[in-house]
Amino acid sequence: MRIAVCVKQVLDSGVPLRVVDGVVRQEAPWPIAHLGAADRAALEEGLKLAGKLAGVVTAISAGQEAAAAALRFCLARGAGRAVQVARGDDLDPVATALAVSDLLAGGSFGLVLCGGESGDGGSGRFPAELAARLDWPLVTAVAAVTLDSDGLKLERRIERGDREVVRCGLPAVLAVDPILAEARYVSVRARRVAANEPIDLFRGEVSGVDVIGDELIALEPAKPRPKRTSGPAAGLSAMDRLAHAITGGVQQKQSGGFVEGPPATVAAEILRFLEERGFTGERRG
Amino acid sequence: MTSPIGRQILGNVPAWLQVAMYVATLGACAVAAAKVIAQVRRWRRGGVEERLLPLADRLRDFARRALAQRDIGERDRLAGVMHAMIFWGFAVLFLATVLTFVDHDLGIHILHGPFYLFFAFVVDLFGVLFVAGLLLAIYRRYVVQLHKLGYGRPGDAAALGFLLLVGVTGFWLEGARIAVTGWPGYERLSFGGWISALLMSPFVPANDWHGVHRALWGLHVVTITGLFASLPFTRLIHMFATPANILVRARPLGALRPVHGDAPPRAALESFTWKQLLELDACTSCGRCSAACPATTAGKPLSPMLIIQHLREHMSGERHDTRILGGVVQPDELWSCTTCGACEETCPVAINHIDRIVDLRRVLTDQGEIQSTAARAMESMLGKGNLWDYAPSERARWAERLGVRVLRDGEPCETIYWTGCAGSYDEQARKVSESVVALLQRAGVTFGVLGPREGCSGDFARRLGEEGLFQELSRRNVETIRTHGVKRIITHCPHCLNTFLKEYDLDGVEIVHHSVLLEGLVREGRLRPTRGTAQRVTYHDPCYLGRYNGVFDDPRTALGAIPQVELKEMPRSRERSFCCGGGGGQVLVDVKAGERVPNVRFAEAEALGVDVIATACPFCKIMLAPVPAERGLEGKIVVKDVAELLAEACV
Amino acid sequence: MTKAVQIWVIAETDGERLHEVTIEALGDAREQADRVRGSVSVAAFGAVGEAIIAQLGRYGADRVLLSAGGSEQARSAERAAGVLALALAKETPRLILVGATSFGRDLASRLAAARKLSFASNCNWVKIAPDGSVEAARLVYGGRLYARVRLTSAPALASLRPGAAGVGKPAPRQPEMGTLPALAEVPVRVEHVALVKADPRTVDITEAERIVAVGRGIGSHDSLPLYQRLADRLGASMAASRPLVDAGWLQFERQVGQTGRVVSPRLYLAAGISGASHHTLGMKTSECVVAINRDKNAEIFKLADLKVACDLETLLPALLEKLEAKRAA
Repeated sequence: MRIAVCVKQVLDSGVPLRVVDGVVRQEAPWPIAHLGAADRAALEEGLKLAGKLAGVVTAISAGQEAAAAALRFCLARGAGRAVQVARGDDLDPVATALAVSDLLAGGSFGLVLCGGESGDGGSGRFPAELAARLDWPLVTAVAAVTLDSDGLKLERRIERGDREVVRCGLPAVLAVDPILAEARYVSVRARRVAANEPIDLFRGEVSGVDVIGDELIALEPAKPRPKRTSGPAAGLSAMDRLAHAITGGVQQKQSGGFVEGPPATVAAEILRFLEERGFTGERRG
Repeated sequence: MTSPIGRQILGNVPAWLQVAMYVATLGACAVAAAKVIAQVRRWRRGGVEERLLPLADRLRDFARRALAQRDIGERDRLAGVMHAMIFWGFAVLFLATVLTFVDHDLGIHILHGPFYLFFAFVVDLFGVLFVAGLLLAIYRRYVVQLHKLGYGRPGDAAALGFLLLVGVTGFWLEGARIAVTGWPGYERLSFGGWISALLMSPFVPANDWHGVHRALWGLHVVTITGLFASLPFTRLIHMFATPANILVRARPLGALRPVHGDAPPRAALESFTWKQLLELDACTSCGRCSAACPATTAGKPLSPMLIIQHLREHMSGERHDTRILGGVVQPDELWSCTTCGACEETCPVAINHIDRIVDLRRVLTDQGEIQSTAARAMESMLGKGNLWDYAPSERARWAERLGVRVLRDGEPCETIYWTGCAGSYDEQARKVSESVVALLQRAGVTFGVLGPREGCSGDFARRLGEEGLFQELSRRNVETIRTHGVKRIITHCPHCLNTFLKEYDLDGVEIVHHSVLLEGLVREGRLRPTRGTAQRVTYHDPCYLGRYNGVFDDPRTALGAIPQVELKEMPRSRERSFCCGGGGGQVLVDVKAGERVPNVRFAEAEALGVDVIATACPFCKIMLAPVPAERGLEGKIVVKDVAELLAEACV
Repeated sequence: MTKAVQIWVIAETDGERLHEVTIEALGDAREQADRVRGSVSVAAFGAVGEAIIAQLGRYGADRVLLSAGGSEQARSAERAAGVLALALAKETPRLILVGATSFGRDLASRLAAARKLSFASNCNWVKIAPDGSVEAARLVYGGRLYARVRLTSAPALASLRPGAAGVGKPAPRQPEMGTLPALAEVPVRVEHVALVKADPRTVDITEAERIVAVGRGIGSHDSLPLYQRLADRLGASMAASRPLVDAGWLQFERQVGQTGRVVSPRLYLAAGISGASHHTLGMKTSECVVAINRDKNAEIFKLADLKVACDLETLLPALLEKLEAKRAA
């Protein structure tokens, strides 16, 4: 079976960023970028399933140098083929999905895996758009995959450690959660060897794509956020909402003093605090 | 004219028996030779050993280890004496037999006259020593059952047995010969034989020694034949392999064998070098390596001797495992190693355990079979140049805060303080960096620190088996060092020090550890430690500074210069220092078994009764510093670097 | 409805209660609608009781649109998105808001693809500008950058980050009732099989919503069962700092810290933990931290929302007693 894994290289999440003339730049002596955690999991799971089904994994990435780098990594990890969908290095998931769906539709693929949310935009649009164009079933937040007699049995990660078990047929699009698979280390030697392996090119500029209409107005560094609490904010005025907009929409930390005294008093205070924030009731369903 | 004093040879032995003896001996030698050749073939299946140590060093080593055999007695006096007795006893007896052949078969009559008197006495003396040594060996192995000898090999009993029989039957035979030749008076010098004859005489029927002599002669031949034939099949093959191994020493401690090329590492005998295979037979399973190993002591799965012996069995076809990894050797054994070097330092026969362990780790790492903490750390080293996934832009923040000169790209600077990952990012180690900088500034030393371009030295990467990563990191660092025109590097960390000195290509750059530099500054009077409080301090020798690079005295001298410091020594110090458990990538992997290694070391310090454990390595500090609090001794015993203590004393 | 600007809010409910994020989105929509003289409709799926409709009214819904179906069907974002896609063929709100929960994210991306909508996910705020255009702000690049976008499609779709809007003021009214196509009308390709609820005792701590973490300050090993009871009462999972795991008191899977696991629960109750950096690296993204430690200088207090300086040995029984009493009540 041919399994496709769609990946994207993103800037490392631990390195500070600047915006210079509308372009995002890292504060680092060299570019620090790699596949997002969800994409890594997709790749690992794709390879595992290929192993079970005697299949081949084709890694796909759209863009220019970043895409090529992402694909070389996939080859080093063990993907059988790599296809670079030639496009500008932009962030538009919809146009990318259109180009990739053209590639997949003609290629007798049985399964597509991709990260549910990329490390930068994080919208989850790409898998949905891809599934819509291919008219294949889509399962999101995939946390476990089992091959079934007539398709796939999947566990989806929902809130608070709960899991939903679902079933779907093949071919399908899976948008995966990072916990699906642990990323296996790829040695520098393997990366070096893979740098010489061929990458196929696929034309990626698509015409006639529907203008979906997301315009970026501004991009600036996020202000450091005060610590969030989980409680409700009662009676906020419009001014407070504006303050939220500037600070990133979080509520101020309760900076208080110490709670001390006799155990009974302290315990009561702790209980009150937890109650206020809804931690003493049953978990919400 | 020959003197009547002499050695009668083969007098009572019928011709057919003599022929049988020659045939048997030749046959035994052939069997032995065949086995030795087979082993040599096995060794030669290994790959090329690129570079041996200089010949002069090797010969010197040979003289010390193979001839003088000082290493055997160094940690175990009794063993040294015992082995000397057996070794020299055997050598003299062998020589005696050769002389006998020379005298009889080649017609050079040396065993006559005064020389013979000398010969008779000396040979018997060494024969007695030989037997005594063997009895001692048997006592240690089978009666006392010394724990470290716990690994028994097939043929152990046979080897000791044959040797002992050879010695004992030799005396009996000599006694019989003395009796047969009519008890010549001068043969009293052959006191062993004389006494044996006296002891045997009650049992000799009708004083007919001829039959007895012939029988004992035959018996002695049988034991000798048995010994020769079985020799290379037992641990006695070390008689050939060990001197050979010592003569071909290749790696000094601290310089691992580099690997180049794109082929994936494999766990197979052919992937080791021929010297590594030879080593397997050179090992006499004396057990010292495991006795000295911190992982073994702490109850981890690793026992260095067992790795060598299991591989030896595999090489000789004595095991039914087909795979090395997961069969002959388990990954947890490999991951327990801290690369402290105690095994190599104590091994009398110059075996390089660490290279072997790292070679096998290379296979596991290349296949991605590593713990996720190590994987994360290696991704971090590759992408961000540090162990803990911090942003490179944060690396020199600590220095900026202290007004230290942080070099811009390409800015030339003669002396730099190479802070290392720990010294830059870890809060415990940062206190040391701050102390070092304060002292350097006070002493008026001009220096700079590299900013975000200082990358991890790659020591842990290489020790964990990621050779490609190490080479990439070292390439980057060498380039950075050259671009800034650096001539002297003061390192914070002994791991950086060791890898720069022995594994990097930094010709023309002086590399010095901060404790050595600081001691020099104190000696020159540029630093004056004047303030002190009464404290009992013990210095823990970091493996990579002490054992690996011979720095023992400078830190101690520096500590001694601090007023009111009472310096105490732990039982295991200097070359015998017990590892803190942090080397070899152990801060990044964890084999959960037994005790934690730093706890073992801490207990040793605690037993000494000290207030401060001083060290000179950030990882020693990281490993040891949390232990007092865990043991409820928070504040009672602290762990500090020599630099911190000096900084406190220099106001 | 004839008011010019319509804002739709997609409700998430378990049948008995509304998810907090729906109330937040509704409050936000209400505030927007009031400014542009628009109206707010709430789309709800499955068996929705009177109490919920009343609650929706209380927070400002002008109209509630119900899509009939069973609770299992209602759980399917594929179905819900399909229903909305059908509905949008007939009506065109200006803006559709949904909470960025697991359900909401799934629904939103499907709906955006089905109807070719502009979509901003996980937003801090969304507003309709005076000229009628929709703007949204969201954190991108792992929260390091702040992007403002204009959504030009009609309708525009946005998911709101839970907690971003905060629950607004009540603006009570009696909502009109309307219908949406039934859930069963939508063909689906993904079949629901089962829901497996996490057991706080066994769930992986990296996913746990609430954590009770113990450190050396809890004293002897004998006190551990008390902390397990506390965790059970709070529906929390047990975790520990490194020394306790090394000593074998808890398994390695429960170790929080640099060499252990990284957790980000909604509640992190740290009992007897000093808060050295190698520990806090593993829990500093927790939403709400309650720290209990005898030593007021402990580093953990720098991260705490509630700082408790008290002796644990006497505090814990008192706390358990109060929790039991509340439960009985």
